[in-house]
Amino acid sequence: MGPVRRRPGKLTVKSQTLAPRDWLLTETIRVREERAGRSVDDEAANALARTTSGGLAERLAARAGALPAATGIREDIDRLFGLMRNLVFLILLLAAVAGLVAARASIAQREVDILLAAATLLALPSLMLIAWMVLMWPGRHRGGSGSLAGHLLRRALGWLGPRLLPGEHAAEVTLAGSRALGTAFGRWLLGALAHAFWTVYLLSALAALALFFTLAQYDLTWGTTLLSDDQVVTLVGSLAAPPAWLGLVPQPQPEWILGGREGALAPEARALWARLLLSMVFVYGLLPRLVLLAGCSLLAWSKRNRLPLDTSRPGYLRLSSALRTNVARPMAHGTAPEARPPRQRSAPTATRGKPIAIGLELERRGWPPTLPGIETNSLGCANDRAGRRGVLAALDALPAPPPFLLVGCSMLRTPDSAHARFIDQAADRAATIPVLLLLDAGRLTERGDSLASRLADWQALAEQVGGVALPYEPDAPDAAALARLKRMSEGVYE
Amino acid sequence: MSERPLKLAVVGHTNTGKTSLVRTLLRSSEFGQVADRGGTTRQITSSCLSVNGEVLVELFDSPGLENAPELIEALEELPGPRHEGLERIAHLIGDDHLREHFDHESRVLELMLEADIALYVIDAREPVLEKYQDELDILGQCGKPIVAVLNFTASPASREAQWRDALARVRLHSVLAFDAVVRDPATELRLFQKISSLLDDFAPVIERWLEHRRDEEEQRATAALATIAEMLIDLAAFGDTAAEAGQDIAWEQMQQRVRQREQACVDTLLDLYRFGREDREDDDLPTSGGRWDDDLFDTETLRHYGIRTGTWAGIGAGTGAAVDVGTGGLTLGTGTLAGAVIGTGAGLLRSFGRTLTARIRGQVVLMIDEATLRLLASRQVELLGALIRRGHASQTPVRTTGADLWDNRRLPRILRQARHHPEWSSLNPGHRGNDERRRAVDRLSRQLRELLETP
Repeated sequence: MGPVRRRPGKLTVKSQTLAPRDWLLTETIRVREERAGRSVDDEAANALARTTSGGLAERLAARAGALPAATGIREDIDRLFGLMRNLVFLILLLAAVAGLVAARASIAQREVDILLAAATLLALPSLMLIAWMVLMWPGRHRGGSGSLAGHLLRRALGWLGPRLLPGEHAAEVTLAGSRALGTAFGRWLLGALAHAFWTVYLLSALAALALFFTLAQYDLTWGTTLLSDDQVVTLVGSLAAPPAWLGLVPQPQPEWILGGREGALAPEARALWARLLLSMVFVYGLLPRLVLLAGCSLLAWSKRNRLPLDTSRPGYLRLSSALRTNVARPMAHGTAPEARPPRQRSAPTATRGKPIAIGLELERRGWPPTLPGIETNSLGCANDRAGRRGVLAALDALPAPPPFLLVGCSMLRTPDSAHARFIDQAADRAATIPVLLLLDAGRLTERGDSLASRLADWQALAEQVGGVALPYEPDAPDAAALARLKRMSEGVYE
Repeated sequence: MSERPLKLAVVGHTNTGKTSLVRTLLRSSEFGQVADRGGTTRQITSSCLSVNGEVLVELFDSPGLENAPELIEALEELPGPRHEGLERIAHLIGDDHLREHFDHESRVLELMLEADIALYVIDAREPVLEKYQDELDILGQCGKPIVAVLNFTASPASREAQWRDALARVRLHSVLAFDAVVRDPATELRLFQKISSLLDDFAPVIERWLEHRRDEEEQRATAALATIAEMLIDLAAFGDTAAEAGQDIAWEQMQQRVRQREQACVDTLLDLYRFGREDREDDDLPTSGGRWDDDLFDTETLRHYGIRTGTWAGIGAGTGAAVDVGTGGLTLGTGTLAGAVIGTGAGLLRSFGRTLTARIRGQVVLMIDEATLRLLASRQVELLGALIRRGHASQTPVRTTGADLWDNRRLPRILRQARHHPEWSSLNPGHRGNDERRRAVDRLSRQLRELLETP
């Protein structure tokens, strides 16, 4: 064996994320298999997955993609995406209509109170914005998107999916889709949708206002019952400051604002007041939404191909050993040794005396056992080196070969090459054939081991040393075995 | 502190279970070949224990030592002072002639020189023969720490005490009974602790590996409990509406689906704790061939688990007084159940329709009864317990203790609640995998864990 080398480090990338389509497919298969049992015909898919590089998530995706059900599920996923697009379109259309209605409602009369109109248009989006920010925080671990539109979309998908998708896995695909919206990617996507909704709402409102202001004459004024005029001037002045800073309107002077007091509006100031309302809607409503839309879209975009797969789920974990790559596969060192050829031994000639009995690593007392009708000369047991040496010396000293060498072996032992070598040597010294008397079959089965394979091993060993293996139970002597021993002791070998 | 992986050699006489031990440590049944025969492993094979792609431990499985008595004589005949064992061994490895003669043995000795530590595996059912002492002597000469691993100590024929005594005589005190066929995380932990105590340098590496093992075991148990909880929620909430006339057929169909759902759960559990599909046939689990032998809807099965039937009081059926139980409960006006339902005798819970229209139309809602839920929970937890305890190469049966998980006390609230939430069951058409259901599954699996961990 060469020096033990460290396997060239094939580092598994610890990325447990997938692209949305793969993610959905893998999740669908998981949900299916957790509920209805693992696909029976998945061996080919598993084999393919094992060859896939990357982490468990990639391998799970590869397996899912190679399953026979994948084609149908992919079609369903495509339809699900189509359905989602349509739903998003519908929601945005709804937003446009709502914006239009809100704009119309805010300027119902020709004389419009500018602060009231601005509040009407901005109150709802601002409230929703605050709600979004508040809900986004506690929901961050549960996949809460904090958006009403997102919630709507999820519910609608859950309800519509199984009804509109034709495939047999529609329910699982929908469930997976709903789970996908709970991932970081899904949250930001739903966030983007929410901001898109209000962006469209405000854009539509702004467009409607602009249209109305272009085609009809409105008097935009302000009034107050509780406050003093100065306070309103300050309020309007500060509200107008950001738009003015952006250059949308000139920074209004107090005199000019006072000129817009209800009943005192100078006709030439109309356009400027209208511009002020439009720019306030833009700055306080649209601008933050645009920024957040861009932010959420960017975050969703950055995570679009990295949907985390929770590989600790039972449906995935159960597959981890089946999909294990060859990192932990065994590596063989060196070559297996060649098996020794079996020994050919011819029957002894000019035998004299009784067969010689040797016990080999026997625990039992009473070796040799009584063999009715057969007499043996015992050389005792060869359980250790000294014993073996003694036996071999005694065999050397034999004047003539005995009819056979009776070697008592316990089937509790696993035959090994030391046994083989000793029996071989003993038979050589005695110049006769060894007969392996295999004892303890009962005790072997008693402790729950397989008799057949152990017997086969001993028989193989007997063959290797050119001898005979003979199972024997002293308590229940086998007549055939005894007859064979008897014949051999009389010099008849077959 | 060591930055390189620990090299662990598994050595021992032939057929003592070295490969089984490696498999158990690897948690992989694909490693090597295992058979109750000598010389199954014919060459040194290595495999790695790695965490996140980083190899922490390299395991070397070796062919069995077979001819130690001759080898020790050959070593003694080599020139040089007697206590210079290491040099003699190096000499033997370098000698082509000796190498050829002791083919198996020299490979193992070479491995011993490479390794940081050796596990000497002993079949504790064997008497302490001189040849084993010879092996220990030779391995000891390699100058590497050795942990003696007594395999098959669970067998009645085990001679653990004799072995411990014999090992102490050769000054080998790091001894561990480690039944390679019983996967017992506690023993595995002790094994690594012993290794760690012998090799200070590798203590951090071993600690990382054990940490990883604990995480894995924990993850597996969590997943398994979630699997059982999901199944229970699915089946507790499962209900089917049928016309009174057709309820026998509807009930039979329901039974079929319930059995399939249980089977899916059993499959997942076995997969989670199994190392390759082929193990399934010779599993000695309460299941056979990956299935439960006894039918779920057989009253005998309930009796076996000590679950009382017919206890319909306190069932969370949810529809007030209009409850009756197939097993001889009240029938309030609806026709009696005939044929198949009476024949099976167990498992059915029937109530009037959930909605007013369903009631007017004379429809009944069929659900599985409490006793069946108990049975479902009890036997799956029993299976999980057996899976956790058993070693994957196990050939001895795990004792099956079948008893009602809740001692015939009330079902946990969460299961009673599930009765009122048809949308929680994936078997129902109106299924929604909502957060509420997920929380229910989480809570139930926590409760199941407590029951699993209190024997």
